[in-house]
Amino acid sequence: MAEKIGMIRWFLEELPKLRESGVIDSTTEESLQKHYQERIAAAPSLQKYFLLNFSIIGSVLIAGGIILLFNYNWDMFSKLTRILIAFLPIALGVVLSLYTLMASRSQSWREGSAILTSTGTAVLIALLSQIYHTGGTLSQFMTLVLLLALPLIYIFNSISLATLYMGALFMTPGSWYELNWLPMEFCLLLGILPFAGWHLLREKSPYQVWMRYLVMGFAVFGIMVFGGGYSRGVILFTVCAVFMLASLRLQDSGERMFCNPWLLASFFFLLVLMSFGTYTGGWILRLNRHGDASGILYFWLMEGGFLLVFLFLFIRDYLRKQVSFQHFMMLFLILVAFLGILLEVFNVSKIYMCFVMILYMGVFGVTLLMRGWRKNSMLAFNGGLLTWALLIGLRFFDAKIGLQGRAIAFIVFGLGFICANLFFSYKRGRIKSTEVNHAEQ
Amino acid sequence: MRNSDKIRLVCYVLAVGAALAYPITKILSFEYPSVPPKVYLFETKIYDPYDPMRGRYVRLNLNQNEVRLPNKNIELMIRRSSDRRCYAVLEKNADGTAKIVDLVTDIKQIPVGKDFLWVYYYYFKRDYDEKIHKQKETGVHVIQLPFDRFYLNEKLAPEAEQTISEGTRRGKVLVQVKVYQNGNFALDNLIVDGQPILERLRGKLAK
Repeated sequence: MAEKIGMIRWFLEELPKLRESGVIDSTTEESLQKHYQERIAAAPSLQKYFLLNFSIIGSVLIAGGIILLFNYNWDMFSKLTRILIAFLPIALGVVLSLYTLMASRSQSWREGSAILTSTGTAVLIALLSQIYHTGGTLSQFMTLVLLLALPLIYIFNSISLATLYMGALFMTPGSWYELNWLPMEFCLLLGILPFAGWHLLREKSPYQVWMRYLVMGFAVFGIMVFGGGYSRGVILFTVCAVFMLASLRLQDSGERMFCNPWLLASFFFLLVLMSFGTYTGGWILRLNRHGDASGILYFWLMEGGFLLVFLFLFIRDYLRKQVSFQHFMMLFLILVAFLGILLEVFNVSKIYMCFVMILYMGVFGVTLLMRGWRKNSMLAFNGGLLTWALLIGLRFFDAKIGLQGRAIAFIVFGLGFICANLFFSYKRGRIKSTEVNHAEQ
Repeated sequence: MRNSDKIRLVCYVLAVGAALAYPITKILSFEYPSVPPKVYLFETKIYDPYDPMRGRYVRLNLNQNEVRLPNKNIELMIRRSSDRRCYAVLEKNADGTAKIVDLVTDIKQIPVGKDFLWVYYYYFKRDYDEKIHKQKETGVHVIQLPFDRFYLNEKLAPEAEQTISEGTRRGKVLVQVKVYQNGNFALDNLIVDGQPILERLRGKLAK
C-alpha cells in the first residue's frame, strides 16, 4: 500500500508537466488531482502502520512480562489470595476490551485488548495448575489457551493474536510419548481458516500480504501433524502445487516479490522434492503402514482440503482464461504423487518412480523456460534453467564421469546460463524499444 | 458506539464467559467436591528443572510408574495406538502409601467405590531370565502417572532438590495427592522424612 501511495505522489507531481506538454487539459488535471488526493487521504499512513506494529510488539512484551511476573511462585500468600491474583490479568483485559468496544477505539486498541484478554486467560490457567499442582503438559496447556483465544481473533479482527496463534499452534502437538489429540488439532486449524481466507480474498484488507505469510505457517502445521497419518509426501506435493498455482496469478498481476512469498517458497520446496524424487523414487511418498484409522481419516481430510483449494484455484483461472502450462504441470504433480502411492502400495521397483520424477522435472523446467520466454519474465526463465541444471547435476553427475568431463560440463553449463541470460536481456530490451516506438508513433 | 461494535461486545461477553467457565469449574470442583477426596501417598524421587513460562518446579519421578499385575501379563494396548490413556485403580498399603491394583482401558471396568487415576500407558516390559537368556512370561506395565511436577518458589527449588537427595538416602520422599471420586486429582504436599517440604525448607533457611 505504501508503495502505491508513493506512485500516486509521483503521478501527482507529473500532472503539471503533462498539462504543460499538452497531454491533458487543466480540467482533467484538476479532476485527477482531486481523485488521487482523496485516495491519499483515505489510505492508512505509514505512521499508523508503525504505531500498529509497535503496539503489537508492546502488547506481546507486556503479555510475556505479566505471565512471568505472575508465575513467580508467591508461596507467602494464602491460596485464596493467589487465586484472586490469578484473575487480575484477565480482569484488566476485560476492562480494556469493554472500553475499546464501547468507545469504538482504533485497531491498535483492539489488538491490545485481544492480546491482553488472551494472555489473562493463559495466566489464569497456568496459575491454577500451579496452585493445585495439577501438572499437565505444554501441549494440553497451549491447546486450551488457543481454543479460548480463537473467538477473540474474530471479535477484534486481531492480526497480532492470529500471528501468535500460528506460532503457538506448533506447541500443541504432544512430544513423542504423548498422544496427539487429532480432532482438537484439526478444530484449531479449521477454526482459524475462515479468518485467513477472509483476509486473503478481500482486496482491501490491510493484512492481505501478511496473511500470505501466515497461511504458509498454517500449511506447515497441517503437514506436520496430519501428514504422518498416511503419506506425508503426498501432502507435501499437493501443498506445493496449491501455493505455486496461487502464486502464479499474483505474479501475473504484477505483485512484487515480497508481497508474493508463495512463489519462491513453493518453487524451491518443489525443487527439493523433485530432486529427492529423481534419486529415491517414491521414498518421500512412502506410506505409514502402522497408522491407525483416526490418523488416516485426518490425513485425508487435510489432503482433501488442499485438493479442494487446488480445484477452486484451477477452475477460477480456467474461467478467467488464465490457464497456462504451469497450471497443468501442477495438476500433473498431484497425479504423479498419487501414482507414487500406487507404486508404493504394490511394492513396485523404485526405478519407475525415479524415471517419472526425472521426466516430470525435465518437462517442468521446459515449461518454465517457455513461460519466461513468452512473458519476458527473467525470473521464470532462470527458474527453468535452474531446474534443468539441478536435474542434470543431480541425476547424471553421479554417473561415472571423470573429473575432466565434469569440469567441462560445468563450464559449458555456466556459459549456457550467461549466454541465455544475455540473449534474454537483449530480447527484452528489443521488445521495450519496439513498445516505445509504437507509443511515439 | 457503532452497531458492529455492539455485536462484538455481545460476542466478547460470551467468549469471556466461556473462558472463565473452565477455571471457575476447576476451582469449585477442587474446593467444594460432592464427595471429599481421599489422600494417597506416592513414593518419589525428584530433580529440579525449569519451565520458561511457569517457573520453577521439581520433577517427580514416581516409583509407581512400573506396575506388576500377576493376572495381566500381556500388553494392554496396541503399540503406536494414538489413544494411550488407561485407568489405574488405587488402593492403600498398610503404611498408607498408594498401590495400583489394576489397569483398565475402559472407565466402566473400574469397580464401584474404588478410586482411580487416568495414566499414560507405554508398554509391557517382560522380565528377563539371565540364566537361560530369554524373556519370561511375567513382567511389568510401564505407565506414566498424570502428575510429574510440584511447583516451588524459584529460590527454594534447588534447595529442595538438595534436601530431598539427602532425605532419600535416609528415608522416604512421598508426594501427597488428593484423589477425587471422578478421577480428578490435586497435589497437596511433598513430604520428606515425615515433614512437609516447605516447613522443612523454611526451617533450614531460617538457620
